[in-house]
This record gives sequence, structure tokens and C-alpha cells, in this order.
Amino acid sequence: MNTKTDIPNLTDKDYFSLSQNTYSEKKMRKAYENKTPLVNDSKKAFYVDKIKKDPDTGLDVYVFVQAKKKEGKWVKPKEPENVVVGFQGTNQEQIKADVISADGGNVVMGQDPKKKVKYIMKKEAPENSKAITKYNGSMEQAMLLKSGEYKIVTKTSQFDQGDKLVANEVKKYAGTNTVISTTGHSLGGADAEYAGVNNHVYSVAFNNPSIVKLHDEETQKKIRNGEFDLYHKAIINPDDMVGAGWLLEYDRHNGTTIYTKDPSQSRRERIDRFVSPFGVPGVLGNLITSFYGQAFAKDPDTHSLNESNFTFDKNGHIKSVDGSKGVYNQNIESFSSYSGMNGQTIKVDAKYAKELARRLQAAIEDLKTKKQAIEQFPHDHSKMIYDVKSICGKRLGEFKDLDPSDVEKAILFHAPFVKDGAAFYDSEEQYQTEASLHYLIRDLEDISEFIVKMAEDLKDKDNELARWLRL
Amino acid sequence: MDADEFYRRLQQNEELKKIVGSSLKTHCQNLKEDTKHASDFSSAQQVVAEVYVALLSSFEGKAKDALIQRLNENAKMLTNATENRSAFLRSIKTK
Repeated sequence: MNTKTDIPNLTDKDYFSLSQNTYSEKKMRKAYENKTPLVNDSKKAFYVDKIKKDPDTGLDVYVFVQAKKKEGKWVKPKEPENVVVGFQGTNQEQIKADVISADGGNVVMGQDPKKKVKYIMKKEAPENSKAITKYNGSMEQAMLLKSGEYKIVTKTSQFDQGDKLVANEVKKYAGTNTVISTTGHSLGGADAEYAGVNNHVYSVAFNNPSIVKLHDEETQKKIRNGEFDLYHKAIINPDDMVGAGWLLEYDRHNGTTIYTKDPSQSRRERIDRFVSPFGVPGVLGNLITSFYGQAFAKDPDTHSLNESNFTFDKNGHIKSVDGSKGVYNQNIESFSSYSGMNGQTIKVDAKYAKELARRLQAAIEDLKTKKQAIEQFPHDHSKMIYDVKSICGKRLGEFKDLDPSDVEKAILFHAPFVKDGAAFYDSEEQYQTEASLHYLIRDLEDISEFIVKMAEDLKDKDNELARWLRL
Repeated sequence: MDADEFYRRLQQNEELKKIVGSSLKTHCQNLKEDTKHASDFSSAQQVVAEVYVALLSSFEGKAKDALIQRLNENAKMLTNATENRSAFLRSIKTK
């Protein structure tokens, strides 16, 4: 197989527009049937050359062939400059649920993409049409098959189906100058990256979840080594938990991840929207809601393929959506004026749990400092009284019949408390604050220790939890 | 001490109390503000709440239920510390 990846001369905006098209099923069907090209804002035109759908697996693919102008008219050349395979995304709520339920934050999207599933279909039905049901080997299904009117069809996932479709396009244009690439949004973007990496064709995806783990071990290693960084671009609105991950950002997508603004600022907002499904009872729930509850009711559209989530400069390069200094190239951990993928540096993220432990430790240190301030208070209070005595003592000259003991009496007159040297504060409350901070810090140190152990072996986290809780 | 002297002293003491009261009020307020600022642990609270969310999302089923109980204990401690601090800060005052 040819392992050289050609870089097409299309812009981010061209891919954005083609990805948007994949959601307009009627328009695409019409363009396909009438053989009319779709012209974008940059005056580039594409014919819909192929439409492939599989309602059982969710596959929705359009093959776009770049048109050429001949004598003022658009024509479909035999050897087009570009062929783009566009994958349609899927139900957004479902993909959000998949991302959220994925353990540890990195989307796994379940199983092996090549896993075969058997379906029952009418004998004359085309293989990509909707099956009657999944084959489960029951007596009823055996009877159906015996009737001779039905057949068993084996299908793999939409990832694998898309992969094969792209492989066919690569084969079709082998030996020509045509550059093949893939694009898509959301799950469609994940399809585009998956097929792109496997077939060594360029891909541009929008708000797609990380599917690094869907590849075989060897490809995963290559991805982590950055071998695909120059050829696969994931353009992500960091507010979006499908594209960015739900707490910390994904370690990486298959190639280069371009955030449309600083991802760190979006973390909190993603968490805000993530907390609601917990339904945690009691004080804990109240505490979480008090910190994160403000955004519960909000479900901003961070995911859609529209201009509020993605904007482009005059050259068609993706640009920052919040007017800040540029887009963020996660692979080189820096902002760049546009989303070029020249960075070869591989980002090695600390494990998510280690990061948590580090932040918690910093919070504990902060709490210790605050506790010291409370402990220091009686001293500060004594000094305050001394200062007042000193200032007012200097004014005794105005009162020829009074002496320093009258200043002391006047201070006591204004003191609401007279206990343990405390005059202007409740010593019991001060002690309780000190004590409660002491117990809180001790308990947080215990939690921090658990997180550190959990980070050491995430696979064993359930056992570690059991040990920690003495279950 | 005759009556005049008594009333004069009384008057001077009242005057002194006013001066002392005014000075105390300012100093107490400053001390309260400084202590409030020096003991503000809201950013640590934010991190702790984030830790709760992260831990809760890492477990499921019975493990998560047990974790909720355990984290509830910590949340109570955090709430106590917050409430105690507020009560303590409120107690810093003149009569």
C-alpha cells in the first residue's frame, strides 16, 4: 500500500463547507441525481459522485469530486484535482452520552470497529439497506430463514465500512494526480480520521471525539509518535465535550488538534455542564451545585457545525472564535496565527489522575496557609488593642482628670466578649474554625493519597477504592 | 470627690469612650477585612469540588455509591469549615 500522504490544496473552510453539506441529505440527493455541482463561497465546486448509507450501522457517506471549469461551465473531470469523502455525523445526544460514559474521559466508542454483526434481511434487499433485525439464532429466526425468503448479512461498524469505502477511492485513483482526503463533523469526523489514518489520506475533522484507541496497537504507537500529525487535523471548539473531552482535554486526536481558543478556559464550562447527570445527594450534591450549579440549566450549542463554533480568515484558515490571539495547536502547546501543522513536538500529558492529585495537593497547601491566618488571629487581635490603647493614650492630655486605666476601661466598655483574652471576637468560633480546617486538611490529604495511588494504576482503581474505603 | 468633679470625670470618660469607640470600630473593621482576606479558601474549595466531580465520574455502581458516602463526609467537613469561618468573621466586632 502507498504510505505517502498527499496534502490537498483545499482550505479548512472548504472542508467545513463539505462537512456541512453531509447534513443536507435532500440537497445532496438532488445534486447527485441532477449531476449539478455544489459551489462554495471560495468559488470551488464539487459533484456528489457517490452516496453510501447503511441505516444499521449509521454510515452516511458522500464522495465529492472537485469540478473543473471548461469554457465557462463546470464539468466533472476524469482526473479531478481533489476527491473528498465526507462523513455525516450522528445523533448528537447519543454521542455525548457515549463520550460521558467513556471511562477516564477518553472516548473509546465501544468495541473493535471490525467486529462482525449478523443481520436478517429480505433475500432481494441490497446489503446496505435496513435489516429486519439483528440475527440472534432464535427458533423464530431459524423458521424465517428456512422459508427461503430471507438471508443473513454480516456487517462491521461504520468505522470499518467507511475505511473500506475510502480504500476503494484510493484504488480507483491510484496512479493519477488526484488527491484524496476525508472530512466530517462529530462522529463523522471520527470516521474521517479513522479512514484517513488507515488509508494514508489527509483528513480535516470538526468537533470529533478522540478515537485513537480504536486503532490497532501498532497504529496507536505511530499516532503517539506523531507520525500522522502533519496529515490529520482535528479542529475543536474547546467548549465542546464531544470534541475536547469532558474534563481535561483528550491526550490527542490522531493528528494535530487545533483548538479555536484557549482550551484551559473552557474546562470549567465543560465541567459545569457535565455535573448535572450525577444527581448526587446531600451536602456533597449541594456543594457541587453551589460551585458548578450555575450552568446546569444551560446547554449551549458548542457542538454544531456552524459559524458560532467555527470561523475562518480570508484565506480559509480556521481562526479563533473569541477574537483572541489565535488558535491553539495542542501538539506544540502554543498559539499560532493559523492552523498549520508544522509542529512535530509530541505532547506527553501527565495522567489525568496525577494532574488531579497535584491540584488537590496545591489546594491543601493553600488551606494550610489559611489555617495559619486563623491561628495567628489572637496575636493580631492583641496587637490591634495595643494600637488603639497607644493612639487613644496619646490623647489623654485632653482630659486632665483621666489616666491610662480609663483608656483600658473604655476599651472594655466596647468589648462584646471578655473571655480568654478575646475582647472583640468569639474565641469559641475562632477555635472551631481552626479545628474544622485541621480535620478538613487531614481528610483531604487522605483523599489525595488515594488519588495518587489510583493514578499509579488506573486499571486497578476499583480495587484501590475498595482498599481505601475498607469495603 | 465633689459632685462637680464627679460629673466632670463622667463627662470626660464619656468623651474618651467615644474616641476609643471610634478608633476601635476602624481597627476592628480593618482586622476583620485582613482576616477575611487572609483566610479566604474559596479557590481551594473550587478545586475540591472539581475533585469530587472527577472522582465521582471515575466510578460506577456500588463503588460510586460508597464513594458518594465517603465524599459526603469530606463535603460536611468543608461545609463546617466554611460555616465556622463565616461565624468567626461575623463575631469580630465592637459592642
